[in-house]
Amino acid sequence: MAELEVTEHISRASPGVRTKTTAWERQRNRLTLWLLSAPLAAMAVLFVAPILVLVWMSLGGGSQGAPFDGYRALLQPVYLRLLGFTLQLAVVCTVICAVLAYPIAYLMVNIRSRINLWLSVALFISLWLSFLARTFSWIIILQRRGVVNNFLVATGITDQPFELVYNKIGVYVGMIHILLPFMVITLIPAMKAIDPAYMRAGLSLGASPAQVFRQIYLPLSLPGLVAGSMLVFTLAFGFFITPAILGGGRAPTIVLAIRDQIQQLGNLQLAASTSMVLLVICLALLLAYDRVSGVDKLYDRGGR
Amino acid sequence: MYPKRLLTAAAIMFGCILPANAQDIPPAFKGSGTLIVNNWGGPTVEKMHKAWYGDFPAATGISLSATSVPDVAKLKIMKQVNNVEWDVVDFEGNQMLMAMKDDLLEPIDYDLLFSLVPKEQLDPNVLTKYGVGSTAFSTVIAWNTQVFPNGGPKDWVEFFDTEKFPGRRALYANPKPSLEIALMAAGKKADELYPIDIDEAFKALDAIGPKVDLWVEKTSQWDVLIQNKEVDLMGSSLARTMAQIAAGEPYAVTFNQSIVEQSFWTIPKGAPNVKNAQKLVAWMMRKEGAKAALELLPYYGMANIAVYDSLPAATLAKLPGAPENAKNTHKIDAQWWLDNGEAVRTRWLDWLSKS
Repeated sequence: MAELEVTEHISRASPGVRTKTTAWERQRNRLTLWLLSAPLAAMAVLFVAPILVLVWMSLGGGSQGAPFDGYRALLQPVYLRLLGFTLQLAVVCTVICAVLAYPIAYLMVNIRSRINLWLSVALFISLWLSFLARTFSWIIILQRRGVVNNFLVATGITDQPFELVYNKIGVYVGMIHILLPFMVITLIPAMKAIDPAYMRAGLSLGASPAQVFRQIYLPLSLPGLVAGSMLVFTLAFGFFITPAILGGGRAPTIVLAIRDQIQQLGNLQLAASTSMVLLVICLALLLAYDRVSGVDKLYDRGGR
Repeated sequence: MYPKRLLTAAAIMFGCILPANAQDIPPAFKGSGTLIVNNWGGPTVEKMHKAWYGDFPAATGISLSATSVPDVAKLKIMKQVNNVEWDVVDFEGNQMLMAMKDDLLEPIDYDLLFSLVPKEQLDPNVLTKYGVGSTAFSTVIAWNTQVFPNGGPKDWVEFFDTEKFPGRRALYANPKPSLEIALMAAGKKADELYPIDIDEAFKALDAIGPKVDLWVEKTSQWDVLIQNKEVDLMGSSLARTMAQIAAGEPYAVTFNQSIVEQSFWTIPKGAPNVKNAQKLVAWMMRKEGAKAALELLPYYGMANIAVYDSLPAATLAKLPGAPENAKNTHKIDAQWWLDNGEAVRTRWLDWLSKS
C-alpha cells in the first residue's frame, strides 16, 4: 500500500497539470519507479505469492476436499466462539496498550532526563527476550507461591494467595507485557515529528495546557496511535502460546485451532481457510481505520 | 584423508564417544554420507538419543545430524514439492497413521533389521509395516507427598475424589488422553475404553472439568508446576515427573492406570537416503543402544524388550515397560484417534472454550 501512496503524492505534487510535467519531475518519477522495483519484487515473491498459495489451499488445492469444505466447516459455533474470544482479547490488549504506552512515549519524547535512557533500556531488553521465556517468567511472578503472592501473604495483606495466573488475568498481563513495547516504539517517532512551536503558539494565544494537549498534541499524535494499534492488534490476534499457557487452558484462541488443524488433523485446507478468515478480518480492520483516520496519514509527518 | 576428517567431525558433533566393535557389524551396514534424523528435540532427548544410537557413525561410516520436530503437514508439503529433507522421523502413533494415509512413508526393511537384531528380542506389537517402535511415553497419576504423606490416589476415580484428596489438579490441555482419563474417572476399565463413545466421554469430561484447576499446554510446564508446588495432583508426563523427583522434588507416581502412547521410527518416502535410513532404524533396535538409553533416562518403553533382562531391579522399578509396571496400563489406540480426531478435537475446543 505504501507504494501506491508514494505515487499518489507524486501526482499530487503537480496538481492536475499533466501536460506541464517538468523534466525534473519526469526524472524523479523514473527514479521512484526504479527504486521501487526491488521492494515490489520482494513483496511479490515473499508476500503476494504465499498468500495466493494460501488462497489456493483454502479452496481445496493440494488436498482432496471440495472447494468450500474448509469455509463451511468454519461456520460451526465453536469456531465463531473462538474467533469472538480472540477478537475480544486483541481489542482489549490494544486498548490497554494504547493507554499505557501513550504516557510512556510522551515521557520519552518530551522530557529530557536520565529516566529516558532507563526507559529505553527496559523497553528494548524486554523486546529481545523470547516470548516463551517472558511467558514463563510471568508464571514465576504470578503463581500461587510466586513473588507477588509471597509478598502479599508475608505482609499479611491476604492470607490466601490470589489467583493471578492460569486464568484470563494472567493472559492479559502476559500479552500486554509482550505487546506494549511495539506500541511505544511506534508512538515515539510520531510524537517526535510534532513541532513544539504549535503548542507554544497555542499557549501564547491563551489556551490552557489541557486544551493544547487535547486540540493540538493529541490529534497530531493520532497517526502514531493508529499505526501502533494496528500493529498491536494484528500481533495480538495471532497469539496462541502465551494465552494457552497463562490461561491454564481456559483461554483457547482461534490460532490454537489452526495449530490443531495442521499438527493433529493434517487438514491443511481447513487451516488455510481459517487463516484466510483471520487475514480478511485484519484487512477489513485496516480499511476501517483508513476510513476513520486515513492510512495515508501514517506516511505523512505529523503536523502537515 | 578428507572423508575421514569429516567423519570424525560428524562423530564429535553427534557426541559419539562409544567406540563400536567393527567386527560385529555386517558389511551391509557400511556406508557414507549423512542422515537427517527428526526427533522431538531438547537437551534431554538429545542426551538420550546420543546414548541410544550415537555409536552409529563410528560403526558404519554414515554420519548423523539431528533436527526437530516431527510434523506430518510439513512432510506432506515437502513431498508435494519433491524436497523431503528428513531420512528418519520419530512419529507419534497417530502421526504415523496420518502419514500412511497420505502415502508418505517407506516400508521398513525387516530382512535387514532382523539380520542385525534377533526378532525374538523385539516387541511384536511395535513392529509395523511402516514403522518400528521408538519410545513409548506415559502419562501417570502423580501427587505431592508433602500434601498427601499417606499415599496418593491409586486410580483415576480416586484422583478426582475431592474429599479424600482435597487439592489442586492439573491435566494435559489435550483431548488425548483427557477423554480416556475422564472415562476411567467415570469408572470404565482401562481395557474397555475403545471404541470411545464420544458423547459418553464428554459427559464424563463435564463431571471432572470443574475439578481441574489448570490445563497444561506444554510438557515443559510440568517442571515449573512441580518445582513451585503449584498443584497437588497431576496427570503428568512420567519422564518429566521422574526427572523432577530424581532432582529431589517431593512427588510420587503410580503406574496403575497409566496411559501409554507409542511412537515409531519411520522413513519418509522420497527421503534423501532411504537405504542408509533403513540401516539406522535397524541399528536403533539393538539391545545395547536401548540399554544405554534406559540407563540414562529410565522413563520410557523401548521396542527391544530383551533389554529388561539385563537391567538392575532398581532401574526396572522405574520403567513403564517393565513387566511389573506394565500390568495395568492403558494403551492409546492411535487408529481410533486418527479416525475420530477431527470430530473430537473440534468438540474439545468447544468444550474448553465454554468451561
